[in-house]
Amino acid sequence: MIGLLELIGFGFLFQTVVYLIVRAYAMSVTRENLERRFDGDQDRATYIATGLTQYRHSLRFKLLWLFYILPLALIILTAYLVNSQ
Amino acid sequence: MNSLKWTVRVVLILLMGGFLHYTLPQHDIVRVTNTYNRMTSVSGSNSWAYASPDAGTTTTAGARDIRFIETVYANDKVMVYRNEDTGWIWPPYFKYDSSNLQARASDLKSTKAAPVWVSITHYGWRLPILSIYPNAVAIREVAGPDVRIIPYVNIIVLILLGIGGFMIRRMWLQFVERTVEPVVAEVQETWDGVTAKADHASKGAKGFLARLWSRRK
Repeated sequence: MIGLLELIGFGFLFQTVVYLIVRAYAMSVTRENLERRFDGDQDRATYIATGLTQYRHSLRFKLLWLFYILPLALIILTAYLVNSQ
Repeated sequence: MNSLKWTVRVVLILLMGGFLHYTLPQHDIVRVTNTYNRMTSVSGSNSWAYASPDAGTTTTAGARDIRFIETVYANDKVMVYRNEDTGWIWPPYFKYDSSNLQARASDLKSTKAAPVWVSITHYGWRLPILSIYPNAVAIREVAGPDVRIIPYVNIIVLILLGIGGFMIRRMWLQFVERTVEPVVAEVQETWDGVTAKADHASKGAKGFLARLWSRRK
């Protein structure tokens, strides 16, 4: 039982690290694309800030929560398949 | 230098391959001949190949009561599996039904005259010199010794590992491009500024000395 608690604890910590890194990567790629797409009509900093805010409210950004959910689902599926004969 | 680089690479690939070969599930088509448990010595040289001590079977003074499944391949070679809970961290099978698996294996025992062929899913290696046994994970009856089993789990895991490795590489390159290189460039600029100032200052000092010198003349 202690093993299961360890799995939950360490698993949560590990997934948090993974989530934060993936999130930083996604933001970095988005910013790079915004910088590339900037055509000089308006203030560059405002354009990028608006674009990033839009991205943070988009479905694609929220889907990054799957980095918590999918591993959990995979663990439950594995445990179920291994232990149901 | 080049050969050193390649040596490191080959060793890394071998280590990773061995690790995957040990951890990923494999299927053997065998006939179960006996199931039992016995006190088994789990000591320094082979403890890495057994479940962690809190996984369900009690360890007392380096010995543990472990369930075993004895089997025979179609070519009359033998294989012995241990049947242990895996615990919750590693290897990630989350197996806690060893007793049920043992009951199933006992039920599927058969003789050479009337063989019942089963597919045993397992991970791990059989190393007799260290008393290491592969751990049986699942057992199911199959039609005959020549059944072909497609390793879906391995295919999926290897594809996911490939995607994961590719993404880690891309993330690292992005990090270097967007975070490391700008800092390096800034330090470079600052350094250039410092050397320029120093040049200027030393020129100024030379000029000052020169002027002093010329005035003395």
